[in-house]
Formats: sequence, structure tokens, C-alpha cells
Amino acid sequence: MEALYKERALCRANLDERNYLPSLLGAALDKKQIGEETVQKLQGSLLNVLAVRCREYTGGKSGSVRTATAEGILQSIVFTIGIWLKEFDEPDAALHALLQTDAGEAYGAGLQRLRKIVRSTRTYYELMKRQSVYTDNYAYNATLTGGITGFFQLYNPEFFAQELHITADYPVALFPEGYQGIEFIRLYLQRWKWENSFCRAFPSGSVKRALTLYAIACCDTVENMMGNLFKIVLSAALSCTVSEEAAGLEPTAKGKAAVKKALCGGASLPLQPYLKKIWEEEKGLKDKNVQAYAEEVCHKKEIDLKRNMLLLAGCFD
Amino acid sequence: MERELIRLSSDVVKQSTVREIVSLNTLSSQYGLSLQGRQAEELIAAQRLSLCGADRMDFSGGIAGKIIAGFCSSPYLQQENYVEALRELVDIFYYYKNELPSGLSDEGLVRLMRKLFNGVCGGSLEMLANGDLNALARGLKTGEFEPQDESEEPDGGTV
Repeated sequence: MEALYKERALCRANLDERNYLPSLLGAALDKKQIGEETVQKLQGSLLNVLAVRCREYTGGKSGSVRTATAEGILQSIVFTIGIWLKEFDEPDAALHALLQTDAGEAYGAGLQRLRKIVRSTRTYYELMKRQSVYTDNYAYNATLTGGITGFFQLYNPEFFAQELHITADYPVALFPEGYQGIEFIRLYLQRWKWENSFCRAFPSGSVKRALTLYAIACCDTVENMMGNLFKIVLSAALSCTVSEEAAGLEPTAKGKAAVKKALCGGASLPLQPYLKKIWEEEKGLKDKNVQAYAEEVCHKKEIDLKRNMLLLAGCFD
Repeated sequence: MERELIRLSSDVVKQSTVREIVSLNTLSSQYGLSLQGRQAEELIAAQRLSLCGADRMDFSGGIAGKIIAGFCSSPYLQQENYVEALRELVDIFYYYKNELPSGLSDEGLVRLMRKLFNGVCGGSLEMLANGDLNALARGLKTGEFEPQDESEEPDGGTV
């Protein structure tokens, strides 16, 4: 009996956090916890919520809306209910709540939660802005000030909660691909803040020199570069560790030669041990979130980092 | 392949019932106009097509009822062309709805259409359908067209 229960239980790790409600329903269908008729019934309830939302959208003035608008509002409802469902740690509990709760109430609960997330993300953004990296990079500064501020001005959780409105031009190292609305912005800002924390652990002059060196190697300027700054700073820090010369961001000529030798030797060079050395040497980098994020970047962007390290070592001169 | 479990479907969108449409005969018969059950069905089907053609979804049962109530007093509608005219008017309504400022209410637009139909268009549906929308949009903005204003109506119909 217990084995059967385990077999039918839903696992949060297997669900798509970016598309939570449909993912939960799909998993419940696969595990035969619900049938097609339950999904159809829920679909009907959601369309009733949609009808109410569309009337509110037009201020009661119009009985009809463009199909694209209706589609957007439906996506917003699905997204918002997904926000509510994510409050339940266990997807089985979320599914149970979904089936026991009126769709309109579920949407209302999600909207309340969404408003709280918007408020806290705005506060987080204000904090993050004060802890940014001093740089001339246009994409960095324009996104940090104009772009994100624009998002909060345009974001409409009431009707289009899944929309982003901005292009988020500055690319964080691990872009929150597929996330929507405030969930995207929250993750984007969180990752950006971790990246800033890493960069700010080094003297600003060193950061500026590393970025300038990299820009020159790419025949570009720091101002116009479109890449991620953290990956450059991380690459510079890794270079110093690999060369076993000194902590920081500026390897000597001897150190650069050591980097070239280590990376061009043919054998694959794992970066994680060098990252651990950075944590040991840089006293300002004790934040576990920053460390975990940098480790993930090292794992997922290894090729980019190694390319940057070679560029900074003057390998392509 | 990702399953589409939640999708927009026009099948579940509420449509006016034949009974609702036919019940408006009480009003329109004062002007010698009425619809049979089958004609009401045709009108509902035409409304569905108009919505589809205009790429719109209606959650209030459609505009046909309001068009009947708004236009039945027009001196240009006759029993012989009644169903055809209603079908055309529904179609024009959704076309206008897409093209004119979104702040204009359904009732306001029906009133505006009636004003044009009974006025400058002289009962011509073709003229109504091919009206200068830019001029109309400008007129609405400047207040040249006042759809709320019933006093200028020669027939005094209400929506």
C-alpha cells in the first residue's frame, strides 16, 4: 500500500516551476491522481474566472475583448493560481487544495500573494541598486536603473501578471530562461545581486582593470560591451588562483603564462577546486548563496569562463 | 511534446439563447419587426462568425440583443430585410469595436452606429460599414460625435 502511495505521489522536483499549474495537472494526470474530466471541469472554472476578469478589464463597458487579450488574461490567471499553488511545499497538498477550492478563490489567493511578492521584490531592488558595481558599462547601468524601474511602472499583476514588458538587456550569467512576470524579475535581481556581491569583494580599481583588459582583448570598450561582467571578474579571479601567484584579479606575466599552460595543455582543467581557493583567500566572500551561485556558473558556463581566462592572459594577442 | 491542458475555447463562451433573442420581439414588434426561432438561430450563428472574423471573444452573450433593442425603431429597417440587416449590423459592430478607441462602451457604440445609420448613412448598411473610421475616431475624441446624446435622435430609440 505504501509502495503504491509512493508511486502515485507527485514530486516537486519533477514539476516545471516556470509553468506550475499546467505542470502539476500534467503530472497528476500521468500518475492517475485525476482524470481528463477533472481537467475539463477545471478548464471550465478557469474560463468563468476569465469572463469575470475580462468584464473587469473593460470596466464593464464591453462584453467582448480581442482574442489575444483574452488569451493574455487567461495566461495571467493560470500564472497567478500557480503562484498560490507554490505556497504548498508538497505538490500533493497543492493538488488537493486546487481541487477543493473554487477557481475564483484560488485566483484571489494567488493575486494577494503576487502583490506581496511585487512589494518585496521592489524593496529588494532598492537594496540591490545600492550595492551595485561601479562601472561605465551601458547595458549594466541602463538595465539597473531604467529597465527595472520601467518594469515596476508597467507591471500589471491584475490582468497580465505573466508579462515582462522589458527586455532585461543586461545578461546575468545564468539567465532565468522561461520564467515569467515578477518571478523572472525576482530571480534576475537575485542572481544579479549575487554577482555584484562577488565583484564587490574585490577592489573597484582591480575590477575596472580586469573589465578594461577584457574589453581591449575583444576590441571593444567597457562602455559598449554587451556581456556579463561577473563572468569576466570570476574568470580573472580564477586566473589568479590557477597561476598560484596571488589572490585578486591581476595575474602577473608569469601568472598569465601559467594560465595559458594550464588551459592549453590538452587535459581538461576542472575549475571547482580553484573556486574553493577563492573562497579561502577572499575574506569578503562568505555568503553561501554567492558561493553556490558561482559554483553553478562554473559548472554551467565552464567554456565561457575558460575562454575569458585565455583572453585575459593575452592568449589571442 | 508539451500538452496544452488549459486553453482558450470559444465553445464554452456564453452565447445568447434563441429564447433571449426571440423575447426581444416584444419590443421590436411595436415597429413591425420580429424574428422566428430559426432566424434567431441564424443570427446567433452569424454573431459567432463575426466574432471569429474580428478575432474577438464575447463573454456577455454577444451584441445581437443590444443591436435589436437599439435599431428596431429605425425607420430604415423593414421586416423583409430585418435578419440580413441585423447580421450586417452585428458584423459592423465588431469591426468598429476593433477599430475605434477601446474606451467606447458597447452601448455607446450601438448608439453611435444608430445615429450614423439613421443620419448621414440614410439607412445604408454599406455606407455604415465603409465609414471613415479615422474621422469617426477623431470625432469621438473631440466630442463631435456624442453617442450618449439621445436628443438629436429623430426616432428617439433607446438601447
